Amino acid sequence: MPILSLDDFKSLPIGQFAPGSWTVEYHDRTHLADKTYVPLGEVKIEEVSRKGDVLFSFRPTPRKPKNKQTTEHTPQEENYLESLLEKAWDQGAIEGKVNPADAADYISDQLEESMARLGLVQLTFEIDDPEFSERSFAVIILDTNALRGGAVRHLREQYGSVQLWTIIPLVSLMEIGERTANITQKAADKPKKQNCSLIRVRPQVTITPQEIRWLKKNFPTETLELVPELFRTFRGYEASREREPDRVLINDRLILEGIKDLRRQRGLPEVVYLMSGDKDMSRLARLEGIHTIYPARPGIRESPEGICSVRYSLEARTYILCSIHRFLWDLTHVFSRIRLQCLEGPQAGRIVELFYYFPTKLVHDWIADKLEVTGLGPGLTTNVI
Amino acid sequence: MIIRLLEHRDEEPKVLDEIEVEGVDPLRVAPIHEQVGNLIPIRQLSEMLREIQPVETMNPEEFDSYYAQNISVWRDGDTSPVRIEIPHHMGLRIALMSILHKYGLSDQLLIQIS
Repeated sequence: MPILSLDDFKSLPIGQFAPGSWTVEYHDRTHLADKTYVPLGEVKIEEVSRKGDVLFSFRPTPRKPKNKQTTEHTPQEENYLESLLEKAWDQGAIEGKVNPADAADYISDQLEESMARLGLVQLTFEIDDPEFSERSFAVIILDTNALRGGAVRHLREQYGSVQLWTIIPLVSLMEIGERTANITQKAADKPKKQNCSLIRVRPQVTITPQEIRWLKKNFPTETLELVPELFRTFRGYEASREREPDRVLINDRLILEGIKDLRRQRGLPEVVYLMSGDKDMSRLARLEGIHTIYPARPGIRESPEGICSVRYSLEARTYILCSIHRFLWDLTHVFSRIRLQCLEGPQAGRIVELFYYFPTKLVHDWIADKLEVTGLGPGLTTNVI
Repeated sequence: MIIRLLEHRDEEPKVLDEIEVEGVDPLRVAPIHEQVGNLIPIRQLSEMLREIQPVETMNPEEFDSYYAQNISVWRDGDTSPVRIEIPHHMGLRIALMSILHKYGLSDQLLIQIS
């Protein structure tokens, strides 16, 4: 089985795609039976240039409307994501209790986050400092939400003249370890419906480390250490499940106190910003006099023609493009196994599969972000793109 | 290609924004090629978006005229520009869609493509 990096996938024949219609499905062993897949949406490859640049659009699987109104374009009941999930659970005789609408929300939410991370939809920023765009530099402390959502890429796109200095709280790094253990444990158990909530958690483990690597490559980056007195408070509660709701609050508090400490040390309070995707934390930070940057994500359900793999940024005055390889790569990090199947076109019948948790995965594969990729088939040439 | 966004109230139209898109040639995009240099109400342009296609004689085999070559893009989250090929009609449609998304469909707004 080929174990590939993203660059390998882009350059090898296995990464050649032809125009046509494709379906994208996922399998996740924590809540689906073996060989059971749920459709995430349709990919329409519109153009493949001589250099191999693939332009495509992605249309997510429709959601069940909240009201009963129907139009001529209303899909059949069995084609809604909620129904497809239920069908997959029935086929696999999966036990457990979860509302299919909630499960579909987890999926839609992660698809939205993925599209924003890939730059296919644009984040908008709510910044409580009217002078932000005039600053020559800014120190940005990123919480876990902002990190995994790729918000810094959008900030750079929209405020290119502001030099960014990024700071990652130690708490966020600690959360990665904690979540990894949690997912590993659940993956070893029998699949259960309620484990579909892990879709929300997995990017913290799989995406955040890659985002941190990208930050380190592109910006001055340092770690926000914990205030020792507060660290003692933090230790010892983690194992207590009963106190789980406190954990988020304590982590938020650790970050806020860390920011105050940092501002005291550096003496530049006006250029220190907390970037958080959590409304409550942003509100709290503002009350305590900390500048905040809140990234707001647009919905993707309102895109009947699908989301295009390229958009034009009026702020950066350039096109922003996502390759089909990176698109599939990101989805695999969220949903663990992705299957792309060609329905129509020169590669009709071809199936490409990407798998995150392949059995022979070693430490260097995690570090190099390698996936198992299978899928040579009809319509492929042996030429490297 | 230069796309100018103008606001027209009582007096002469005032330029609100000017966007220079390197590589894309509006003369290779129908039906825009018939409107190059004209002032087009933004609502009318919105309707034209659905009809945008390569001019009749061009197809992907006529490579040099179908594709706007060496368009600068940020690819896969990397902000160092790389050069790729995008069909002229797609490049134009995508840029116009961003403008429509940002400015909306006001009756006072006009667009000039040159």
